[in-house]
Amino acid sequence: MAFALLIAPFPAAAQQSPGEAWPDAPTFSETGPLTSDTGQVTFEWQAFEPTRLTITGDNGRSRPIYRGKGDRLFVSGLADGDYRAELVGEDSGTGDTIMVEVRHQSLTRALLLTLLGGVVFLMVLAIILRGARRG
Amino acid sequence: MRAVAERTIFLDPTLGWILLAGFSVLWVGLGIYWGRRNKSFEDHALAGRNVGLALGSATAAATWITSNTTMLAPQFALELGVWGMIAYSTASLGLMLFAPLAVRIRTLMPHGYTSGDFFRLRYGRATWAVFLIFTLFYSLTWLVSMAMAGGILLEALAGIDYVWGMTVILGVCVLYTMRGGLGAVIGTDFIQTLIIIIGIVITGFAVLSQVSVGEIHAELSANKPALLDVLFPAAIMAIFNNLLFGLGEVFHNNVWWSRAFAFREGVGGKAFFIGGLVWLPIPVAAGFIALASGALGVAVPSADMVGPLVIAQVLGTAGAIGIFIIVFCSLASSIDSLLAATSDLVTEDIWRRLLRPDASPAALKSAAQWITLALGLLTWALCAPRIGTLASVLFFAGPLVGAMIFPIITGLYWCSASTAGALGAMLLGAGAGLICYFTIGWFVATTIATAVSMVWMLAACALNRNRFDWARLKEDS
Repeated sequence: MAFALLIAPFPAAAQQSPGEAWPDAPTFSETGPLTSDTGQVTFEWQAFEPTRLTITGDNGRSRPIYRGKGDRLFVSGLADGDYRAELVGEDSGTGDTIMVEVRHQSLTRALLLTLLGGVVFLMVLAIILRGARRG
Repeated sequence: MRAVAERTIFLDPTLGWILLAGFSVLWVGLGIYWGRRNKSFEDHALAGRNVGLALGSATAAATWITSNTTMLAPQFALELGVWGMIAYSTASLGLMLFAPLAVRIRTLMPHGYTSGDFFRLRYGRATWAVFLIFTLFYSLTWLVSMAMAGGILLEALAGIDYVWGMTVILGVCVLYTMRGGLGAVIGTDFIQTLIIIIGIVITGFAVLSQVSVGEIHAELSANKPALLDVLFPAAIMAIFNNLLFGLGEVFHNNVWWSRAFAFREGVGGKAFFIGGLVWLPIPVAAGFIALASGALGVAVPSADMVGPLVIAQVLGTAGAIGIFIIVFCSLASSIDSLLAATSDLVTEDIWRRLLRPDASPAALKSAAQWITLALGLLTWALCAPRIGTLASVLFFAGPLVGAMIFPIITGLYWCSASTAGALGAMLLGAGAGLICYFTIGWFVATTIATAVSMVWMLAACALNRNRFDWARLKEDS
C-alpha cells in the first residue's frame, strides 16, 4: 500500500488562467544557502496548497523527496556537494528554490578523535578488568 | 525515483486518555501495594537490600530504556546512519562494565546508600560538593527532558494537551515512587521491560513484512549514501563519545549505585551484565526502523519523530496504540528511577549529612517521600512553560559525567587515587569538554572531557605517595 502511494505520479500542476495571479506561491522560510557539516538539513516553508519538493545534486540527478500539505522536511545522509532544492505548489505550479551546501567534517580530525576515544575506553576497560581480577 | 508522502499519526484522544488512565491506575496501584511493607528509609530507598536476579536484571534494562532509547536511537540512525545505530547501542557497555563495579561497591561499602557517600568518604567534602553539583544538574535535566518528552509525545500521538500529558505522567510517577519507594520502581520496571521488548520486536517484524533489507539498502545507497559510509566523519566521532557518555552516566549516577546497594549479595554483577545484554539489541531494532523510513515512504518533518511515524505507518491504529504504550512505559521506567534515586541522594547527602544527622529511620523515609514530591513539583514547574531549549541542556551533561569516570574507577580500585587528582580531573575534564562542545560539536565533548580527566587523574595517582585506607569506606550508617 505504501509503495502504491509512493510511485504514484505527481498530479499535473493546475494551469493558471491568463491574468489570474497566485498571490501566495510556496516559499522557503530561509533565503539560503543552507549549510551542513553532517549531511542533514531541515527544509521549512510556507504554502497554502499541497507542494512537492525536488532535490538536484551536482551530477544533475533530480529526485522528488516530498509531496503533501506539510511545511517541514528533515533530510539526512547527503554526501559532500552542492544541491538545489525546488519547492513547487501542486495547484499553482509556482514555487521557490534554495541551495544546500554539504561539506562534511574533516575525516583526519574525526579519525584522530576516534583513536583518542578508543585509547580512553581501553584504559577504562584495563583498570576495571585488572581491578576486578585482583579484587 | 520516489517522493515520500506525508502521513499523520493520530490516536483518538479519547482512546489516548483511556490508555493513560488505565496505565496510571495500574502503576499507582502497584506502587501502593509494593510500598505496604516499607517501614524505614532502608526499606524505602534500597528495597531492604534484598532484590533478586530477575527483578535486578529487569530494572537495570528498563531504567536504561528511556524515551531516548525508543525515540533518540531512531533519530541517531536517521542522522548518523549505521554507525549512529551502533554508537547508540554502545551505551549497553555502561551497564555491562558497571557489573564488576557493583560487586566492588557492595564489598567496599556494605552500609552505603548513595554514590554521594562514596565521593564524601573517598575524596572529602570539596570533591563531594562538585560531584553533587554535577550529578544534580545531570539528574534534573534528565528528569526535565523525560517529562517534557512525555508531554510532547502524548500530544503528538494522541492530541492530549502538552501540560495535561506531562502532568499525568509526572504525577503518576511521583505518586507511586512516594508510596512504594525503590521496591515499587523495580517492580513496575519489570512489567514495563516486558511491554517495551514485546512492542519493539513486533514493530521490527512488521517493518520487515512491508519492506526487505535489500530494498532499504538500495534506497539508502541511492538517496542517503552518507548513512552507509564507514568513514562518515560525524558518525565515527560519535561512537566513542556516546560510549563514554554512557559509561559516565551509569558509573556516577545514584540511579545505578542505589541498585548496586539494593541488590542481594552476589546478584549485582550478574544483574547489570544481563541488563546490558537485554538492552543491547533495543537501539539496534529501533534504529533499523528509522533506516527503513525512506524505503517505506515516510516523510519525516523532524528527526526526533521518525520512530512514531514509521510505527504508525506500518501498524496503523494498532501501531499508534503500541507506540503510545511503549512511550508511556519507557518514560515511566526512567522518571520513577530518577525520582527515587535523586530524592534518596538529596535525603542522604544533604538532608541527613548536612541538616538532620540524628533523624530516625522513619523520619528519613518520610523526608524522602516529601523530597520526591518536591522534586516532582520542581520538574513540573520547569516543564510547564515548554521551553524547547531546556531539554537540550541535557547534552551539556556529557562532559560533566565523562569527567567523573576516572575519579570513580581509580577511586574504587586504586589506593593511590587522591582528592587533588579527582577534583582536578572533574573540573579540568568538564571545562575542556564544554569548550569543545561549543567549538567543535556535541559528538566530541565527552571524549575530550574523559581524555583530559584521565591524563590528570593518572598523573596524580603516579605522583601521590599517600595510600587510601579502604576501611574508611565501611562507614556504618
